[in-house]
Amino acid sequence: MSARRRTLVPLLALACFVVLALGAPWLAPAPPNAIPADGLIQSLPPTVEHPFGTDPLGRDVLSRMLHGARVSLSVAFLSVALASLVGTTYGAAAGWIGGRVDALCMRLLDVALAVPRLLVLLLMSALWGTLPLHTLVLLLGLTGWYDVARLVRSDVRGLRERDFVLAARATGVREARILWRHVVPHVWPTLVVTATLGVANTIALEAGLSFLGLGVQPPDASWGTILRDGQLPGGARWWLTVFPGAALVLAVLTCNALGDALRESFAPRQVAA
Amino acid sequence: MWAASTLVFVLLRLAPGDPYAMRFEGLPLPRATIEARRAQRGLDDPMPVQYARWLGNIVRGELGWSEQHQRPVRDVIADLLPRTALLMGLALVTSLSLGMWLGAWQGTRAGSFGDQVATTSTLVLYSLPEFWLALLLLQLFVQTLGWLPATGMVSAMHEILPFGERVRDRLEHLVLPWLALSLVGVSVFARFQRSSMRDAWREPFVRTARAKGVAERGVRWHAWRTALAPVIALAGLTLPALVGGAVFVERIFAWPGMGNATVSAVNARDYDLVTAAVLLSSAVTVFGSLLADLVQRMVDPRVGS
Amino acid sequence: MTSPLLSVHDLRVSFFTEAGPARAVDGVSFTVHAGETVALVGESGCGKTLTALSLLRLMPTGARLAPTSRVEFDGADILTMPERALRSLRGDRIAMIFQEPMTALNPVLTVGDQVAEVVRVHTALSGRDAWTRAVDMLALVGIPDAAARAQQYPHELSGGMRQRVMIAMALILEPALVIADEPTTALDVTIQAQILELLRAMRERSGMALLLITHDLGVVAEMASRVLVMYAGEVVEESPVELLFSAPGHPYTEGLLAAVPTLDTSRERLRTIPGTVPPPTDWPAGCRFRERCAHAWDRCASDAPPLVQLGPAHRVRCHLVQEPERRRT
Repeated sequence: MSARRRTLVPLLALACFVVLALGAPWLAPAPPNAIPADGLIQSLPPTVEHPFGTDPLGRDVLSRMLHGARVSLSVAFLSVALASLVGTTYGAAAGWIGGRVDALCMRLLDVALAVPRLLVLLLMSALWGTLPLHTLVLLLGLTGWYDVARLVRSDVRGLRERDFVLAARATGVREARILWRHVVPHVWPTLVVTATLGVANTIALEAGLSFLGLGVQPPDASWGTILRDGQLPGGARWWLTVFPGAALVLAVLTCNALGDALRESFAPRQVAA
Repeated sequence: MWAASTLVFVLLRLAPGDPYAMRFEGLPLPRATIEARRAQRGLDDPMPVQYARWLGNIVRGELGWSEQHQRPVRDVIADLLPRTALLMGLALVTSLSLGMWLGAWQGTRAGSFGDQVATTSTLVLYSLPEFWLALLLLQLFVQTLGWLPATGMVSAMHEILPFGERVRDRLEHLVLPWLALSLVGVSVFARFQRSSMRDAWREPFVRTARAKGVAERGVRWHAWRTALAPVIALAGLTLPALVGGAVFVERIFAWPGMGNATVSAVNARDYDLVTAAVLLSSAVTVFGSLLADLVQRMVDPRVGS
Repeated sequence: MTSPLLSVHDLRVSFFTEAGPARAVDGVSFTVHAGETVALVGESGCGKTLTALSLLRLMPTGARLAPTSRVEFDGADILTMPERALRSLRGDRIAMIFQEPMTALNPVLTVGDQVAEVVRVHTALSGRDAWTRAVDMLALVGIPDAAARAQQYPHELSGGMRQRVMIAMALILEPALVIADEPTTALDVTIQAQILELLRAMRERSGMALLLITHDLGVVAEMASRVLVMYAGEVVEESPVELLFSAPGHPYTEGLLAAVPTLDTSRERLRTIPGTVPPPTDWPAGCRFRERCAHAWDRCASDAPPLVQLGPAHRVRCHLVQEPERRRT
């Protein structure tokens, strides 16, 4: 596949996901939390009426998945946006100021990195009881910016000594303006790639937390909570594992593939002489 | 290490309310009783005093009391940790060896058909959340095919089985959690080793080795040696993710280890145990990255000089 | 005349690129006799490094050899011999010195190890004996305190020292032919002289043949007995070294000579050859040098000039040989 196509295909796939998520209220055959009026409260395998089956409360899985996509994707996008913002600011500040401030910032980052992210999240959800959605976004964002900070910081440090920055400084351009005009555009590729991979990561993480019952709370649907419903006692219900799981993997795969393709296109391979 | 534990302390105090308020919330206890218990546990003292006491306890190995297990946290961990270590150790060894082998193989033939197949496969594997892979394995091999025992570390009758059967029993319980953790791990290391090997493979010293009459095997060794350091650095950084993966996998296969216990402890609001688990995993992470740093210096003289 | 040590016949190496096939080396033939030093000269992009690599079948992936090409060494064709036979030749009978000792040496192995590896691969010597030989060789190429230096890594040595290591690695088994690809280009001027001196001394000592690839005519004058001038994938002039400097036959050679600073031309401006080497996907029809040549006329655009014998060891690829009156002064 050509480099162009490697970027375009996942980009289109991602767009599909977004469209499906945004269109959920119109596309879904049933409201996500609707318990059937006939009182048929049981989990049924796929039928024509419920192509992805129903969950233990008799709710339509397809509808829940479409609405779940809204939750899963928006949690991921928002928290990664937050993480990127915090990470870029932190990394750029550390890298640009340099010296002791930089050393201190990096030490702090090492400390933060030492505590596995999942366990921080577990600890926080233990302390908070249940996490409201906006707190979940906040927590995911505030525990997800370390990589961004490190990468941006090393980019900025490299740029700080480059000729065009020195030239700009020599001609008396203000620091803030140099940072904005000359440094930020160069950091952009790094940021886009890490953010894309970060979205993949966060979608999986949110699903995992929700699966454990610590993320999105019922009755709200997310791919993780649907998977969790599939584990309720009462025998194997493959449709509750396979369909939301497939959606989850596809979404993660799409973002990873996009991230890989973007990284390759930003750093093109040298052509052999 | 010290800093990490401080961070945990800060996180603990950041949360709304305090452990005691939460634990007794809803219980028909007079307010004064709760206040008394709070005072008894020293939660009324100023923050620095609390902090010093907390840190002192940890340094002395006093990790507190597990309400859930009704035992000292230290004893609980002593029971659980070896099981998690077994699972994670096996998974790490598998991921590293298989991933590095696959990645190195790919790196020497980047762009070939075989490489493209492997790249796509590892990308898909890499995108599988461990918990879903675990669920899938569980559903397929246990619930549908019935080839392997469901969950736990041993079956109920383990103690009365003859020795050979006991070994078999253990292995049967181990294989799925190990597979779930390893498959994802292999893809992580293979992806990284591939790109570092691919870069090394283009370096002029590879041509030098050939010009010296070194056989292809030796040439690959030359390249692999220089491609090693970044992969080891990654291995150190991957530990937190592996810990995270282990939590899910243990949970799903009911593996009676630290990860499983941590989730239970979270649900039971067993604060001392959760705190200890976080501290412990931080310690493992710090130790892992120090070890990775050390090995990196050993294999690459350019690091740190 | 004895049969040559190395005989290259109609060497053609091409690549498939997005811009079409690139005939990077296009019909190169020459010989090197035992103990002789031959220089291969030309600007970058003219195919001389690829020629050198092809002699040991070390071309980058994607390079294609024409089936008619032959590289005979001691009577055996290197281009078709089995991999095993080729490997036993490399490093033992034919050795190579590369341009950039920093990247051509493995950064994570000690230099002693890398020199000893040649011995270990080609002889039955034990690791310890190979190491001792490596240290002796490092001392011989002028590395002070060789025993200690052998334990060091390439990045701990200076550029000149690294190139001495490269040379030690190439010469340790006393090969019959050494191919040196721009051995001094990456070095400081003072170090360059030392390295050339070392190469000359080693040549005296072992009687090896040397194929020296360079763009530096100063190096050629000091080292070589015979010179091949390459342009756009072809040999455009082959000449004994004295004749090359006194009576160059090809306008390109003249251009190269004019671009060398010498004492008596120091007052006038140094002349350069206008333009650059065209890309190998796009060699011009007819004479490939004509677009940069001051003498070119219509025949140069239509007929590709053949390599014409001028004297016993002097061949030139230029129509001026047959029509000297076309020369413009």
